[in-house]
Amino acid sequence: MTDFALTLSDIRARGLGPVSIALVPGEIAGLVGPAGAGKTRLLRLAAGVRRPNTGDVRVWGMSIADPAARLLVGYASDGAAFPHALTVQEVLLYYARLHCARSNGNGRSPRSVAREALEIAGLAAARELRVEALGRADLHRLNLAQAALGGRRVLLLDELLSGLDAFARRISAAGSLGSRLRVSRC
Amino acid sequence: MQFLRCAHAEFLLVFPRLTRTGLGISLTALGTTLVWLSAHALDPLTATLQAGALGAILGAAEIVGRGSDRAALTTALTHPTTALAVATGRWLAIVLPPAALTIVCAAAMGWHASAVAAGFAAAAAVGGCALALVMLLGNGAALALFLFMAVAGTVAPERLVDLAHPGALRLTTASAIELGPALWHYRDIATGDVGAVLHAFAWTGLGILLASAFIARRRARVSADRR
Repeated sequence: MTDFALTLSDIRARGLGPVSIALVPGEIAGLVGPAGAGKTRLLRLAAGVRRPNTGDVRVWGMSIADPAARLLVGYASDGAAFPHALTVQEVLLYYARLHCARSNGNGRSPRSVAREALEIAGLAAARELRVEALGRADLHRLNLAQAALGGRRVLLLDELLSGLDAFARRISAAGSLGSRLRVSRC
Repeated sequence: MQFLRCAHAEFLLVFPRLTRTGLGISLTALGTTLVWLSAHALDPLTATLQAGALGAILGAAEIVGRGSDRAALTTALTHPTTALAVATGRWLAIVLPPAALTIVCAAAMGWHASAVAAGFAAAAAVGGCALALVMLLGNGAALALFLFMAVAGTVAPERLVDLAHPGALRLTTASAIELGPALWHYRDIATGDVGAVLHAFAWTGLGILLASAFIARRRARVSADRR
């Protein structure tokens, strides 16, 4: 184990790097740069969606390639898609089942994990709505809910507030979410 | 155990789709049509095989083939699951509704256990093939496979091969028909042909493996596209 929540060590990928980052638990970091600078690419590398050419990504000392690390890292990508035929609750229940399968339950049911994610993202009122009926703000919240689901310890949020009006931004803003995010594992 | 739980989570996605998409209505219409045809022209074994095979293609189109469903796979893989578990669970979700349809159709047409077994095998094999094709090419491939299974899949291979000109084209056609899933293969399961059973098993396994490879590759491609 390590004191760092997330470490990227000497990461190199096509057109990117070398980059080294270390984040401690509770730290909020922003990634700023011009379009095409590689911000999304770096987040995808940190989330384990892509593999770097060289370097190492670790979450609490575990390699990001370790399936157990995916229990700890939540990633809300820009423009994430969800099955249109399902309701918000069914989508989150589906992801919650994957988490509880990996962690052997630990006493929490997928339903309670999904319910908690609904509350974190402020989606409780929209839980019976189908994904195809959601507005942009609720889609962003659903994206956040699936990333935060299961008490993940590291959240990587890519353009989560883009395209939202000021009111929706205020509701979804990462600062106000901090108080709602609870450390509760599946 | 984790693999099975993840596959089970994928399988459970079939229930909302049965009522909210066209899947339930399509399967009901298919079953009704096949029972009607068996009373007039089609022999019951062919109708049972069609129920399994065509039902599996409809399932693949409704459960995996839609653009939003295929795009959502990328998000699913950021959670603790694997491409193989996703493919296996989706295959189960594709195959179980047509298996139930096969039982209902067989019961309506005069129960033959051997015909039901052949229908299950057809659903499993064609479901595996449809899953891989739809994952790669979308619902256009499902339509092509549906038409092939409905029309050409029941015809003896010799009749189809004779239509092609001699030479490389005929050889290719003969090979494709011999190797690919087709209902004339699975008719023989009703008479206890082990080779036909193995053919169905091979297509089931190959379909799931190919689909999982396409899912993993899709994630990498989408990542590159959004870079």
